[in-house]
Amino acid sequence: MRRGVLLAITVAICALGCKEEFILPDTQADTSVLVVEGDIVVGGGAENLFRLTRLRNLSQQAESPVSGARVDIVSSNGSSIRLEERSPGTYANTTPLATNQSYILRIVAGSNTYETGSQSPILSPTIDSVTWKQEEADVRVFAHTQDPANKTRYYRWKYIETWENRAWYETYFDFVNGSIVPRPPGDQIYACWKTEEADAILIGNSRSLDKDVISFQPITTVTRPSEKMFVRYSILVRQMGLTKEAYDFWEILKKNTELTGTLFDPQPSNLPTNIKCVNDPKAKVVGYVSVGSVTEKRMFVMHSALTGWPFRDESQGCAAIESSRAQAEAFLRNNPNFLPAYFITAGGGFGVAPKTCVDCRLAGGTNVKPSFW
Amino acid sequence: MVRRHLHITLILLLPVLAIGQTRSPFDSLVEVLERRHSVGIRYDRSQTTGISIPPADGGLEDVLKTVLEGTGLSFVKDRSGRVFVYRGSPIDTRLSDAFFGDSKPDSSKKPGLTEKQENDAFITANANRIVTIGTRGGQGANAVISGYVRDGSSGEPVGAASVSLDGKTGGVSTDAFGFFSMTVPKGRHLLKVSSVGMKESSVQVNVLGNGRIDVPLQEEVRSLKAAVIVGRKQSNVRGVQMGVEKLSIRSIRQIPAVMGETDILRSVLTLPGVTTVGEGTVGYNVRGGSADQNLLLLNDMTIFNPTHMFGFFSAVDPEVVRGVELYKSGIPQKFGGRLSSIMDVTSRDGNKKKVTGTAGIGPLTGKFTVEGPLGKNKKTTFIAGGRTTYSNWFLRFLSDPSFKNSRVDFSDLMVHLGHELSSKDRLYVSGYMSNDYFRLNSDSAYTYRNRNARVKWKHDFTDKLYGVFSAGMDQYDYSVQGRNNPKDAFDLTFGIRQWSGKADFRYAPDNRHDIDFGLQHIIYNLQPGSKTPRDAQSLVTPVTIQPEQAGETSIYLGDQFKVNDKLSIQGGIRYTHYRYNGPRDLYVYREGQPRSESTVVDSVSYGGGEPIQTYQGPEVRISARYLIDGRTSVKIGYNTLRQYIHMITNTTAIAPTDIWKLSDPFIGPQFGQQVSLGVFTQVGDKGIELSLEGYYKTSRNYLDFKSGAKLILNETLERDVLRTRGKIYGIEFLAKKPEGKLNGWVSYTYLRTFLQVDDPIGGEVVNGGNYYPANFDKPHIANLVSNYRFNQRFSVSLTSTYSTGRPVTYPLGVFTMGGASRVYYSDRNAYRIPDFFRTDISMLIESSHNLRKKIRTSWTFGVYNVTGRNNPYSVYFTVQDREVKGFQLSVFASPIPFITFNMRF
Repeated sequence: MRRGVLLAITVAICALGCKEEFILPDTQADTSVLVVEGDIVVGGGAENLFRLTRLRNLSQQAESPVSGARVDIVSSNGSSIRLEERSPGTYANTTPLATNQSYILRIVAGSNTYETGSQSPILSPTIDSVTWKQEEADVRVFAHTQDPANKTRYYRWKYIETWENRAWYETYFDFVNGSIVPRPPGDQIYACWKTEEADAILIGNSRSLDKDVISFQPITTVTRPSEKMFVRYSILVRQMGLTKEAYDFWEILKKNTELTGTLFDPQPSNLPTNIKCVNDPKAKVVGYVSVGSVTEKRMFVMHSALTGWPFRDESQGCAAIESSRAQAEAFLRNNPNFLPAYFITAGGGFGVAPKTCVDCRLAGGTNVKPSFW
Repeated sequence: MVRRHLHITLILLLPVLAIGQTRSPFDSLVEVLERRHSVGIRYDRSQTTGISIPPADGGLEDVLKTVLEGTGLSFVKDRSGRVFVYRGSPIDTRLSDAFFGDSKPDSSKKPGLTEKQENDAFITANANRIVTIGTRGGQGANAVISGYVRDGSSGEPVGAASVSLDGKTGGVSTDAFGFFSMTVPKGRHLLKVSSVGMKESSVQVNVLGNGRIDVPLQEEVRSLKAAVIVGRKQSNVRGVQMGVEKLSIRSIRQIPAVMGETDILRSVLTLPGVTTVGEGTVGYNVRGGSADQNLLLLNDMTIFNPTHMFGFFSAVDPEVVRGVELYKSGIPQKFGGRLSSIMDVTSRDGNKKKVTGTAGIGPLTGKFTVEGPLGKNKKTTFIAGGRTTYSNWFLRFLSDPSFKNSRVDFSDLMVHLGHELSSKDRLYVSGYMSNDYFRLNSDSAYTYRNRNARVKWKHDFTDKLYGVFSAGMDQYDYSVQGRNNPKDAFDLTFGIRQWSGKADFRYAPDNRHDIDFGLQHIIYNLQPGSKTPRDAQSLVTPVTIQPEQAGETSIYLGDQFKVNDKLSIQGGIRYTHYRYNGPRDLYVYREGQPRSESTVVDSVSYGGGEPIQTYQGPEVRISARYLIDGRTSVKIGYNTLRQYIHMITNTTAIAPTDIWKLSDPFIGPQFGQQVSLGVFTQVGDKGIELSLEGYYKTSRNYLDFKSGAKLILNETLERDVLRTRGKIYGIEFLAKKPEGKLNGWVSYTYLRTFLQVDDPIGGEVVNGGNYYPANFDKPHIANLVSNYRFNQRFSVSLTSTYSTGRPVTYPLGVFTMGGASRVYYSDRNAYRIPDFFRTDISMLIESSHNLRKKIRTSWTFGVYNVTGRNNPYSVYFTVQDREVKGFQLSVFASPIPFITFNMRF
């Protein structure tokens, strides 16, 4: 009888699906397929950045960038700007593009010439606000926007997070040429600002609504107790309007990647593209180039506004060794991974601690305060 | 005199019966008869215990005949006056003519008997009784005899029984009511009635004029059976229809089922030309058609989702089912509305003689049925059957919390009532309901349910004409309760309801014509979806897609015409008219442009009942059979069909969240045609049937979806669909041995299904506009279904299925975009998942067929997927750490033993 029960359990599991690895058949990718990522961004202060790579085999992890390509943005008034290759496969130009022209992206890579159709820019409405909300533990960030003309409807967002990251000790000393010296006032290593650019696909639409209003568009979630909010956190949300076709592209790209393999999953869909190979219609391209302006909004979250968010606590890992100046200097000479942390006012001497507890830059980020901070 | 005597005896014996069960009423009757007629009656007490004694009058033969009628027992009186009561076919106590070395057949004797014998010694239950039909003095040399063929033990009608006259070919067969009607010359005839699984019955009739005769058939007791002359039975060779598969509940039971649940849809999957959409599901494709092109009728009720538990079980309780007919090509004109197939499931009418029932316990479900007569005069019969699961019980034992917090519940109930209003009027009421609930890992909960009801009235206008009038309602709805997050907790619902009424007439003017005609009207009412916030806390904006409504009217006329003994033609036409009605708001798009938001030029608001769009057209159904000799026939067929309702799905299985869509100004009806050719033959004397059928089909307006299509809660679905053209061809080979200790079939199908986007304003093509294999394109399919009956109590079944793996779109490469590795897929369906192979065995052990036993039990033991092959259901790919990994989901991927227990009372 017990066996019967066990059996029934196995049965129940397998009825719901038994998952195992599936050895992919030996398929060879067409490595001539060009992959284009980037948008033509109009308006002042915008940077046009494109990344060109080739499709790679399933087993290949490293990217294959396309170097030596000619990438031009051709305006409808006949002028064109050439993008420069900054690093292999990355092409950029910061010349501002007028908002009242339409644009073509032309790529000459190897013997092939690729072009998008001419598109006039979609001017993104301004972002009304970026808000946050702490739900239970985590902080969720939302964007809100609206187009009074009801024209935009499809949106894509990107975001850049910056947060202040402090070292455990705020030191006023440095260790130079074997001795402890005062640190110059402009050279602090206590407060750092770390910046992370997210590349998740964030899209949203208002097509089912009367008005072109997007509210509470989830942008990201910061989970407690992330260091991002130990002091102060800032997020810059960038918004771009999309055509429906471009929106579909991103949605399919998302869906094709996020198939979870349930029994009722849809089939992967063909990825549409608006880039064509002019001289060889059979040459395939992946990517969708949108043309438009980008609007952005920055928002800050102070640690004090949060509920139950901890502070940095490295009291265990960052215990300092206190000794006389001479001893401290001798120690530091032998231990390059330590730095002076503080001066012992009562009786002299120094506390030395591991570098990571003193120099915030070692945790990533820069000690130069950003202009917006 | 006798009657009074009997009654007294019975009353006296009752207390004894109640206490000791030593003497049965039959024992008492025998005592009386032996005394009265000075004869010795030999019988087996175990066979006669359960016999109740109705009032009987007349001589010895008359009394015994009345008493034994319907018990499966016969009696014979030999020359020395001894009477034997026994089970089985009549015994001829005479010595064979050949016994005395005279092998010359006595041509003066008819196969039956002479008038003299009738009064004398040789009387058997049926064959040697002369039944007078009609009254003398009518006009003409011919008369019409009609009546019902019934199961002798339960009184239920026997459909598709063949009725022939004097052993000649070209008889008629009974319809679903067990009714037949034939024109015969007046005079003495031998009427023979046979049906698969039943003993052939012969009745001597003396036809004086038009009249009625009801013929009981007894179930065949297999182990006692000698070689049966199968040629007389209704077979594939003689029938005019082609592409029709019939499964009796008996053969369905022999097919080992997953977890021992006898499953109607699963057994249909063993038939040639029928493939499953995926292991573990009962969604099916017939001859390359999609799953939504199949109409499933349960007593004429349309079941929109005939499955339980994600589709792993079919939702029709097999215990109430009499049989299944699947029309793959020769779809009769009385059916319509779907392109690929009609599955006609009929329930039993219920035992006419006594209340009986069954109960069964399997690993997942418990079920029961009760059936029997109602009231004193037994004019009403009922049958009710239900099932429910206790699978939740298992889920609680699972350690994986995602299963532990899951719930699966389902149940179904079928009720069918039949009432004889008069000898010419019968009334039937059927009701069906099913409920499903599942919740995976305490997230979203899904519920879906069917609700169906139908009233049917059959009226015999004359002996040659009858009509069936019916009306009913079919409803299917589902809802999803999203509870992942209180902020976006929602209820999503979908519903389809149809009201339908129809009148079907059948007219048999003579034995050469069998005419049917009728009228049908369906009112569709569709709630394409609504999403509402769960409570005040939820931020979900309510969305309700405008309801859709339409009416479909069909008329049909057809005739099955026997041109001569060799050639029969069945021709029919069905004309359908479809009207899509308001109220509804629709957009107008720029002519000749892909329909999208940017091509909207106007919107129109239609009022309630206002016609928005009509579609109409004829459907042709033709088939012909030519008998080359008694054993071989050739058939050809051509038919066209229209389907006004589309299932909106881009998954391969029938998902409970699939919605239906009515044809509207943008989405036209599906149109299909099929031409088929077949050769049917019988070899040897064991009744082995061989058949080879080839077909070519085309379809139009089957829907595929644009990339990124939104299917649920889409007010403007016309922007996301792509019309396709379909091309299907195939060959089916079937070898079947319907009878004998070893029975079953072997089939092989070669079948290709291709689609091509055929939408000039679609704005998108799949695979460069070329034909691509459909999701259910499986070129090679082979099935083996076998059953070996060792004796009456023990039989073993083995089934085996092989098919090519279904097509799949594979990842060919990876690229980086949006900060992550993304998969680049091949052309649609350019590759295939591994082939499918599965073997199941089961063993049925029944308790003895002892009538004294009030309860008969049976055990089924079996193993599903004996070889334990991991048949992938689906293959999918995800990117993990910048590397594409493939996974396959297999269901029932190990040998699954099962036990079920059934009892009959």
